Amino acid sequence: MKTKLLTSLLLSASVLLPVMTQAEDLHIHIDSDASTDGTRLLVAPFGPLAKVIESDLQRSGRFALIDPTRAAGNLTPDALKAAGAEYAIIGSQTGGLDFQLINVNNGQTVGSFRIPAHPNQRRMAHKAADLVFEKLTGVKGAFDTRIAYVSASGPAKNQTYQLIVSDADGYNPRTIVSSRKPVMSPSWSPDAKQVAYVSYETGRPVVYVQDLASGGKRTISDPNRSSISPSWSPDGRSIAYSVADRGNYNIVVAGSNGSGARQITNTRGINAEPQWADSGTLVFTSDRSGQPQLYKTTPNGGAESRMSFSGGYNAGASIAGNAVAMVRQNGGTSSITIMDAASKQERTISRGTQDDSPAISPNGMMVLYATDAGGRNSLAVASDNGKAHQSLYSQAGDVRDPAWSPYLD
Amino acid sequence: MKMKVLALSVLVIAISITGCQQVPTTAGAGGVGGVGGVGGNGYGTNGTGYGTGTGYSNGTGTGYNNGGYSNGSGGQYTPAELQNPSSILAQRVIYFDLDQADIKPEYMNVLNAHATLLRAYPNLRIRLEGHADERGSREYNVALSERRGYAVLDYMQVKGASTNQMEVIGYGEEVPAVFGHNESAWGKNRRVEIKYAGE
Repeated sequence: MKTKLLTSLLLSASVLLPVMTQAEDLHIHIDSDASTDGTRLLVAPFGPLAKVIESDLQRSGRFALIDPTRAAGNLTPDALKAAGAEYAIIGSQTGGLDFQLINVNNGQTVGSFRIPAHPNQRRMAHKAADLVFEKLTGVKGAFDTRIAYVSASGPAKNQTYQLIVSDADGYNPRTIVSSRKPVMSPSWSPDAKQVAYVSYETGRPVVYVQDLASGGKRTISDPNRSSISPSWSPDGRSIAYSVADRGNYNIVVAGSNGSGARQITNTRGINAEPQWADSGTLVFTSDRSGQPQLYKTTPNGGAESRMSFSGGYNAGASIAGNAVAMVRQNGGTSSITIMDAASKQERTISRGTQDDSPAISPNGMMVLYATDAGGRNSLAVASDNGKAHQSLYSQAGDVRDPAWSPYLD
Repeated sequence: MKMKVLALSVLVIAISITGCQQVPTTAGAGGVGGVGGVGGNGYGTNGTGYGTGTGYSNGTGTGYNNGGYSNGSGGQYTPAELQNPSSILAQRVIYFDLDQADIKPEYMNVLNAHATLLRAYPNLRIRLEGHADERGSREYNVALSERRGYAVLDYMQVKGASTNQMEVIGYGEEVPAVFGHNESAWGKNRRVEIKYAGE
């Protein structure tokens, strides 16, 4: 009886309150052939956060991490050099995190840093990894960022769908939407405080925005028409998405409150998956030439031109600067390709046979994507140079459809 | 009696038209589902009208099995048959080839039956739920699956159903019928499901 009462209380609470529950951490598996070239870096074992820094830098594909036991607790430049390191991170944690980046070859301190105490201790490590990454590569680090993804569990045709946000490495997950109807296509606002997504909760796909702090939700697209694939503009003022009209789809741009939607493409067939490359450029998928290819236009429409020419099927762009990640299908398998929009040079960075939904890091140097790992739908991260691979999977169910947040403040 | 004859001739004409639209390879399956029931009453006087071609013999079989004969009203289906597992109307799913939205000939008799029912009962409403397999871009697949739903809608409209009776929703790869990463699973997931309102 007591249980029943509690259950009914919980049920009514879940109806009334925004869903903000703890989800399960993603388990991280670093592939055994992790990068052994790149800058040789040793992170002294000064506490639990040292491992987090190590793991972050590892998945960038830019570093070969040296096992700190090889220095046997001796952190003198000579000992570090003998251990094979070019650079070392030596630190201490007393509330905040203090650390130095040492050039082992000349014994010089490259930088001394202090990360203030933060309630999410792992974020302190991610911020530290960002600083080291920038110091050694000249590119801003993107470890202290977040991801959103969709989890589905339960039997076929009777699944529960959850939209989850977590740290970029899969820790600190939180379920922000839970539904018996499909949920898909998260897109972060540029301030990383809101997420646009698609839900079938009314029976058709409609674009919504959820505020992460309050759980408040607003409807963006016309609830009477199917709308898919939202993408938030860099200035936060607009959301582009794709609207159905009798089997055809065209791109619209609306205010981030849903007002003033205006159609910017007008062809038969499918025009979908808009992504803002910058404030004046939208990249989208269109099958106007037969199979899907990437095209670009402006937020006001016009000036349309085709961007992808290699391969018969290119779709699902995710963009950071000139780096354009896309799904390329070839003979029944699909993989993730990164194209430099300026030079048109390409590199295939994923290794599965059914890879999908690329989400590029804000610095363009890592791509999170959905993959099929041994029959389980999981996420994977690859560095843009193809050297580092990690998989992130959940015990709780399939995970897929990731979105990478912009830089946090 | 006069009424009945008139109704029959109208039906026969409709059926003849339908029959004409079938290319020979699809005639056996298509355009015939509604005919079977007519057979019982109509064959003797209209035999030459629609007795030609392979369509007729298939139609007879289908019609009898589905109770068209016993209700004697000229091969019309009734909504009650939606609940009859042995009725052709119990078939609610049709399947598609990879990256295709064409209606395959073997599913035309199923769609003909549903179209016939919808034409006879204008208050009936259906949802055509299109689905894709897991391959290709997830969001693009929503649009692709909706296209399959509209292929079914267009076909059923030609067969007499009204567009305001039909709604199309694309689900992409979000609601697989079966799990799995092989052609067997993919083939079962590339589908359109017919859902009647209120079911």
